[in-house]
Amino acid sequence: MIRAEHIRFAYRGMEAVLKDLSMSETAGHCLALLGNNGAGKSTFLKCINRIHSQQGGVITLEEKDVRSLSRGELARNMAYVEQHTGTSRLTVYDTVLLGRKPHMKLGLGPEDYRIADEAIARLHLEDFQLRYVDELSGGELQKVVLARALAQQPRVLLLDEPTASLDLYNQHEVMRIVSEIAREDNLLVIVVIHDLNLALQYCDRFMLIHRGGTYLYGDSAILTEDSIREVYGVKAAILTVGSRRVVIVENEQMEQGG
Amino acid sequence: MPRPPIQGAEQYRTFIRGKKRFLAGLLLITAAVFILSVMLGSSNVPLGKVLGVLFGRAEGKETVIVRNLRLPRSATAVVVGLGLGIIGCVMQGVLHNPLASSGTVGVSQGAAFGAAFAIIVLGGGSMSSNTAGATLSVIDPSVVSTCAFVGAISCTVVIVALSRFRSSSPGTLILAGVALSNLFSAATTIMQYFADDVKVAAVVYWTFGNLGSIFWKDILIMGAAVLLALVFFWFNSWNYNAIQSGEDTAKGLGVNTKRVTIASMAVSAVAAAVIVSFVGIINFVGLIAPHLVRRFVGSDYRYLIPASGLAGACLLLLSDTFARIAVAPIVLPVGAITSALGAPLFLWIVFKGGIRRK
Repeated sequence: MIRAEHIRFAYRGMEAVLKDLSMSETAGHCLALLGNNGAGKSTFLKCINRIHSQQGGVITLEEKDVRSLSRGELARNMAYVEQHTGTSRLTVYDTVLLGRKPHMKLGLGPEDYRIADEAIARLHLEDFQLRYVDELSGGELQKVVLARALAQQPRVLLLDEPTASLDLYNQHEVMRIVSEIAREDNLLVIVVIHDLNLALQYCDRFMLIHRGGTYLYGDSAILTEDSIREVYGVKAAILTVGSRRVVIVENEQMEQGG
Repeated sequence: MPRPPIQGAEQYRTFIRGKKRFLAGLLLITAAVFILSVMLGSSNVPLGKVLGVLFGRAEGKETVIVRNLRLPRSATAVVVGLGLGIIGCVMQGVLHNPLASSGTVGVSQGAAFGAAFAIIVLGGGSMSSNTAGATLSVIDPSVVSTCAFVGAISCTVVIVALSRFRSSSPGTLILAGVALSNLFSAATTIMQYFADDVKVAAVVYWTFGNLGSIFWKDILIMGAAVLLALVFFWFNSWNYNAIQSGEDTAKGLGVNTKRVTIASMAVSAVAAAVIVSFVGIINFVGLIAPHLVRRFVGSDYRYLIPASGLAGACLLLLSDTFARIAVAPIVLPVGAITSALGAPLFLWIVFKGGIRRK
């Protein structure tokens, strides 16, 4: 579905952020993009959606180069939720309707309202659908922009740190919905995430990005004590609790001190 | 398969009906203020006479005043106020700046420069050939308008071209606008420095803004420009809704943000240049009108654009009426009145917490 080959990207006048990154993923999966700050995870997400245009390599959606698709075509196939979502004096319902923008001809039709209603029901936003989004809490806002992305009826969902600045309940709530969407709607979800335990719990595919390239790519087995040390520079232990694997970061400084 | 109506959409439609009712109310208020502005002046005309003229069934001395003086003036106020209101609304949206208006892209200073050029340099030529008392009437107003239009457009073109050098981010556009506006106003000052008193007075008088001495054909030209802008803006209202949620989000929603921004600025600049070239510089209406209605209709541009236009029309009608009756029969410069009335109103909005960045 989405394939990236040897992606290279540099911001103007800067050293390349992405040097050689490749991946290939099909529908129904939830891929976690992992790596340090500045590793190029968000940049890669923006290259997929052509917000940035890579200098080298090719990204294809269903065998078509994304650079050959119009903005409208891209938006009908991919939804993108940025890290710091801007708020505005629009209501929740307006914002979800905005997801119908790429499908709109002249105005809104009954079908657009039906799809907006479904997206709102799915994320349980009915109670505050007429509130202005600049009055919402972080968790509520994150669900609103997810609903907007769903209203786009995309085949690929690109999420940039959807759980950043959310409380524990909302982190799990949002990730649970995301993984459910991937399975039930047969979407490909690509999510930039920092919390390895959240990633292990809700994602089924993993990519460790290190020094601008694909360091390891595959299922949860790629997350090992060695790979975490190499990529993040921290000493971690991986425990198995029931059927789940949990990452525990050890504090080396304290160890040395004690 | 048809589904039963869902409550969510119904609730939303009811909410939207509220906004439509607000727009309808604003339209009625504008109509009432329009009639009031025709009635009031150095000599008051009764309501019956005004309505009589409007519906083409009146005679007598007052109908001449209404038909030839008051109606064109009030119609100008409506067209200009509406135009400045919608332009301010869209500029604030695409530039992500609550202080943006047509002046931001140098329309005002560019037009002032053009007008000064026409009056001082071109007007000078015609005056020297007229030895019988150098009066301003020898300058063809259409020359001043044309020069003001060219000045406004060239200032905008330079600003947009400069900002495209690196990127067309809203920040660079505004900074380029500030720099160019200062350059043009410096050029105007230097021209005035070397001009004689009469011409300087004429330039200053032009910059005051004047809704009188406008003919119906001028109103038609301005009306066409404003109507075209309104239609363009209305077709882009969902694009503006997307852009206010952030540049990248808008791109993700399929909006070509760069194209929408540049096209909207170009349409705004042309419409504003047409307006300013006829009536001179009118401050504050474009800045304040969107803020005034945003608290009632939110930032949904489908409703914010027409509401800003109507609010602008109301503000300018009220300002012009005040300018005509405050120290009648002297007519105060309307540009000064909009600022004088607008500033306290603006402060009130600021301190009520009504200014929203988006």
